[in-house]
Amino acid sequence: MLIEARNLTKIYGSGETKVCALKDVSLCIDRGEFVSIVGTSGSGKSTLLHLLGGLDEPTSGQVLIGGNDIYRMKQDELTVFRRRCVGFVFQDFNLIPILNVYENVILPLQLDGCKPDKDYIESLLTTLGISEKRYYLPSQLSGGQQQRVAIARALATRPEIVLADEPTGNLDSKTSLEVVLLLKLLNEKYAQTIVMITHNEAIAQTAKRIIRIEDGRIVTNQVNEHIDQSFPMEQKGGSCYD
Amino acid sequence: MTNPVFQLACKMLQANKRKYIIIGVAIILTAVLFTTVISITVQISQAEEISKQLAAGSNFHAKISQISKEQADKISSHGLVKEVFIVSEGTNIYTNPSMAEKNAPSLIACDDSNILSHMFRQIVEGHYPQSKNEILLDKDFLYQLDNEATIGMEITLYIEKNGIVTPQNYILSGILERNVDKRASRVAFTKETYEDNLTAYLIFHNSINIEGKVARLTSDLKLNGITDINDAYLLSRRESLSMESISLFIFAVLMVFFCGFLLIYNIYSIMLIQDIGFYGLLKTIGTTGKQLKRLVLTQVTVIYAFSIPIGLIGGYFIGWRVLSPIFMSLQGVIYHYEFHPFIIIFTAITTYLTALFSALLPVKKIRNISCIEAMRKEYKTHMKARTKHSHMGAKPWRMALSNLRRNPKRTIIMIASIVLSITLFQFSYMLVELISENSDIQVAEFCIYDTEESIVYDFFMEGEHHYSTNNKKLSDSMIDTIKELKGVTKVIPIYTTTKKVAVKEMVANFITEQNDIRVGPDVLERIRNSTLVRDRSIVYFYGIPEDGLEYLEESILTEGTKNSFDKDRFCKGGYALVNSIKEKDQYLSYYFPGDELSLDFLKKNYQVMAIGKPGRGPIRKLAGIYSYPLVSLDIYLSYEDFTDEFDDYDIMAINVFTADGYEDTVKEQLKSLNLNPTVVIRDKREQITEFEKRMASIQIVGYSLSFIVFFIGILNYLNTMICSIHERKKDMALLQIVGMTNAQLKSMLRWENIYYIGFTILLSNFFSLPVLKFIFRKLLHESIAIDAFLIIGMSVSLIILASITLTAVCRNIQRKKPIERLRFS
Repeated sequence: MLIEARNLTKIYGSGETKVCALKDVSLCIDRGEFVSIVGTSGSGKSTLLHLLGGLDEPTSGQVLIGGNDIYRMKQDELTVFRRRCVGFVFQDFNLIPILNVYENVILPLQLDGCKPDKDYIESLLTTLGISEKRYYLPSQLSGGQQQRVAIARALATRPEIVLADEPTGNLDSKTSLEVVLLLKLLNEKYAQTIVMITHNEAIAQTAKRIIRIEDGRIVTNQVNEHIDQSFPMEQKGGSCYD
Repeated sequence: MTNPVFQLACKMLQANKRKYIIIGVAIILTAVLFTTVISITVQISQAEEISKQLAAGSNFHAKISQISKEQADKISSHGLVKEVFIVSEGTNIYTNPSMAEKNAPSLIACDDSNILSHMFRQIVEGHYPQSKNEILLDKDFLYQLDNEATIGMEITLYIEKNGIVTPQNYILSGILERNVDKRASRVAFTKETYEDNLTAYLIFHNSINIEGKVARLTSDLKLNGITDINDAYLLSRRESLSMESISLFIFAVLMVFFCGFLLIYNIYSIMLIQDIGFYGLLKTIGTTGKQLKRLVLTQVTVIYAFSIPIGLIGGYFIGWRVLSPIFMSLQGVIYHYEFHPFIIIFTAITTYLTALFSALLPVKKIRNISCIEAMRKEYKTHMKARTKHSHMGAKPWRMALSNLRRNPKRTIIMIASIVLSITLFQFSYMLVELISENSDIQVAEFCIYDTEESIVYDFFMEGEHHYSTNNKKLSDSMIDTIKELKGVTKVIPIYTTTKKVAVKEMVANFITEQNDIRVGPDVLERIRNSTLVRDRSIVYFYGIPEDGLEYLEESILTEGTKNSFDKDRFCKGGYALVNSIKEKDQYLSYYFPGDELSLDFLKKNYQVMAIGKPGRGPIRKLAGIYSYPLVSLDIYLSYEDFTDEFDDYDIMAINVFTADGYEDTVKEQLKSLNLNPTVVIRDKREQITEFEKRMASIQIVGYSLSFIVFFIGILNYLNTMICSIHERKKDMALLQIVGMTNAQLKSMLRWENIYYIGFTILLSNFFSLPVLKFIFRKLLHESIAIDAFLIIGMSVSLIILASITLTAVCRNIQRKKPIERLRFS
C-alpha cells in the first residue's frame, strides 16, 4: 500500500462561516494504481487530493505515504518530500509564465539540486508531443499543450505518485481525452500511481478504481470492472503516443 | 549548472521590469539620502576640525618641546609618527625696541618649508628662508615695519632674549599671506639654528587617541620635555563625540533607514501579495521556504547591484559635490574636504541592509501561507470576518472606512511611512530655519573692529599681551569723533582686556565641595581633563555700556540662568556674566549664578548673575569677530566696573547706529577717519546681502533634502495607493457588477484618501511635532516654532497629488469592462 488516508477531516473557517469539507475519510491506494475521484462541485474531492499530496493540512487524521505520516514532517521536509515523490497536475496548468517549456519541466529537478537526466526528459517531451515546443513560453502554447507541459513537469522527478486535479477541466473534449489517455499511458509505461479528480463520468471510467465522494464523505470506492476502452491508442494517432 | 534560484530570480526581474524598477528607484533614493546624511555629518565634522585647526594655527597633532637633537632624531624614526618638524622656537619679534606691539609674531626656525602648509601659511612673494639670517614675514607685520618691503631687503627686528632686547638683522626672503584665521597666532619663519632646546611638531598617522600616542612616545623614548596636544583636535573631538552630535547622527540615519525600509517594504509586500499565486505554485512544485527566501534575496541583491552605483554617484554629487562648495563658502576659507571611502562603504552597507530587511520581512508571509491558499490568491487579511451588517446603506465614506479597517496592517504601515517622511521633512526644514535664525548679523549699521584683535591662542605663544595707549587702533577719542558725525544716532563700544590666570587656580575655584554636589564628580573630572592640559589660561574681560545691554538676547544665556539675568541690576554694578564651555551635551561653567567671582588681580568681588553661551555669546552681535569656544574664561562686566578695574584695555569694536537714510553718508565719513589698515568697517547691509547669499545656498540644499524626503514619502504613499487599488480590481469589478457606479467607486476611493491624509496630518501634529520639539529642545537646546504654512502646504500637496493619481488609476482601470476585470484579475 502506497497511500493511506486515516480519518481525514478538514474544516475551513470557524463559527458561522465554518465549512466541513471532508468528514472522517479513510482510503488506501496501492502502488501503480490509477484511481479517479469523482464528485460534484464542492463535494471535497480537491480537498482530499490536496491533503493526499501534502498541500494542505488536515484538521484531523493522518496521511501515510509509504508508511510515513507526511504531516509529521517539518514544513521544508514536506516540501522536499513533495518535490521528490509527488507530481501535481492542475486544471489551470499552473506553469511558470516566465520560464520556457524545458525550464518549466526541469525546474523541480533543479530545485532539488539534481542534474536533469536529458534522455529521460527528452523521452518525456517526445512522449507528450511537446519536444519541438521546448523553447516556447507557456503563453505561446495551446491549453492542451500547456497541460502536457504540466504533466511533463509532474513526471520530471519520476515521482511515485501523480495527483491530477481536474486535468481536463479547462480543455475541450478532444484534448481532454488525449490528456487522460496520456496519463493512462504514463501509468502503464512508468508504473506511477495516479490519482485523478474529475467530475466527468466518462473520463472517470478510464481509471482502474473509482472513488465517489459526496458532502465530504466517500460514498463508493470500488474497482472499475468496466474500464472504458473506447479511447483506443490508435484513436489518438500520431507518434506522440508511442 | 546554473543555480535555479538565481536563474528564476533573473527571469522574474526581466519579466516584471517595471515593478522592480520602482524598487530600484527606492534603493537609489535611499542611497542618495544615506550618502547625503553621512556626507553632511563628515563635512560638518571636518569643517569643525579644520576651522579649529585654522584658529589654532596648525594641524599638528601635538608638540613636544625642550628636547635635544638626539631625542628629536629618535622621535622622527618612531613608528607612531608620520611626520615630524623639528623647530627651534624663538621668542617674539618686534618692530621696535619698546616691544609694545600686540600680537607680535613668534619666530619659528625650521629646515623644512613644508611646515608652512601645516600651519596654513602661503608665500605670496619670495621663498622660504635658506639661511639663518633670512626671514619670512607676513604682510601685516611688514606694514607695521613702516617701509616698502621688498624681497632681499635687510630689516632690523627686536628680539627679547633673557629679558634683554636685542636687535637682529635679517634679509627678507619672502612674504606670507595674512593669517587665514585672524585668531591664529602670528608666526615668522627662519632657517633652523638647532640649538639644544628644540621642539618637535608631530603628525601621527591619524588623530585617534592623540593623548595616548603622545604618552607612548614619551615613555618609549624616555622624553621629559613638555608635551602639548593641539586643542583643535581635542575640541573638535569633544564636539563630534558629544551626545547631541551622535544622537542627531543616529536619529538621521534611523529616519533614513525607516523611510527607505517602509518604502521598499511596502512595494515588496504589495508585489508579493500580487504574485502570491506564483509563489504558491513554486511551493507546490517543491520550492522550500529557504529557497523562497533565497529567491527574494537574490532579486534584492541583483536590483541593489544595479541601483547602488547610481545611488552612490547621485549621492556623491548631491551630498558631496554640491554641498562641499557650499560648506566651503560658509567657512569663507579655501580648503578641501576629504571624501572618505567610509561614506561609500557605510552607504552601501546601510542601503543593502535596508533593502534586505525590507524585502525579507514580507517573505515570511509567503512562507507561512499554504500552497493552496496561495495558488487561489486567497491571501488572508488581518481583518476578522465581519458579520455585522449595516442598516445605513452602502455609503462611500462608510465603505472607505471599512476598507481601511479590512487591512489594518497595511493602513498602519502606509500612514506610518508618510508620517515618518513628514517628520524627517519637518526636521530638515526646521533645522534650516534654525540656522537661518541663528545668524550673527550685527545690530548696528556699522561695526568697526580690528581684525587683529587679541584673541590669541596660546598654542604657540606663552607671553602676555601688553597694552599701550599709544598703540591702540580704536580709541576713546575716535568714539567721540564718531559720535559727532552727521547721521550717527548712537555709538556702542565694547571694551576688552585679557589676563592670564593659572588654570589650576581657576579650576580650584571650581572644584569645591559645593560644586561636587551640584554637578557631580564625573563632570568635575571632565572639567579637570579638558582644562588641565595646559598650564595657564586666558581670562577675557569685556566691558559693556548700558546701551549695549539692550542687545543682549535671552537666547545667549544658558538654560536655567535666563531668568537670573536682570539688565538694570547689572548696570548698577557689582555683577558679572561669565561664559560656559560646551562639554559633551552640557554647558559647563566654572561659576554658577549667585557665586562670588574673586580673582587676585580684581579690585573687588563680583556676583555671577548668569551664564552665557560659549564663543562670546552675549556680545556676538556687537563684537565684530565671532569667536568660538576655546577653553578660557570670559567675564562680562558693566562699563563702569570694567573701567574701574582696568587701565590697560582695548576697544574691541565700535558699533555705530545711524539715522534712516544716512548710512552712505556715515560710511563715507567713517572711511575718512584714516583708520589703521587692519581695522574694518563692516556694513550691516553688506552683511545681510552676504548672509542672504549664504542662506540661499543652505536653504537650497536643506530644502532639496527636505524635498527628497518628502518625495520618498509621497512616492511611497502613491505607490501603495496604486497597488492597493490594483489589488482590489476584482472586488471593485464585483461591486460594479452588483450596481455600484463609477462615480460611487471613485467617491469611495477618494474617501479612503481623505482618511489616510487626515490620519497622517493628525499623527504628524500630535506625534511627530512634539517629538521634534523635544529633540530640538533636548539636543540642540533650541525651541522651535511650528510653521502652520508648512503643515497646510504639505496637506494640500498630498491631497492634490493623491487626487491626480487616483483619477489616473481609476481611468486606467475603467478602460476595461467590470466583467473583463473579473475574468482576468
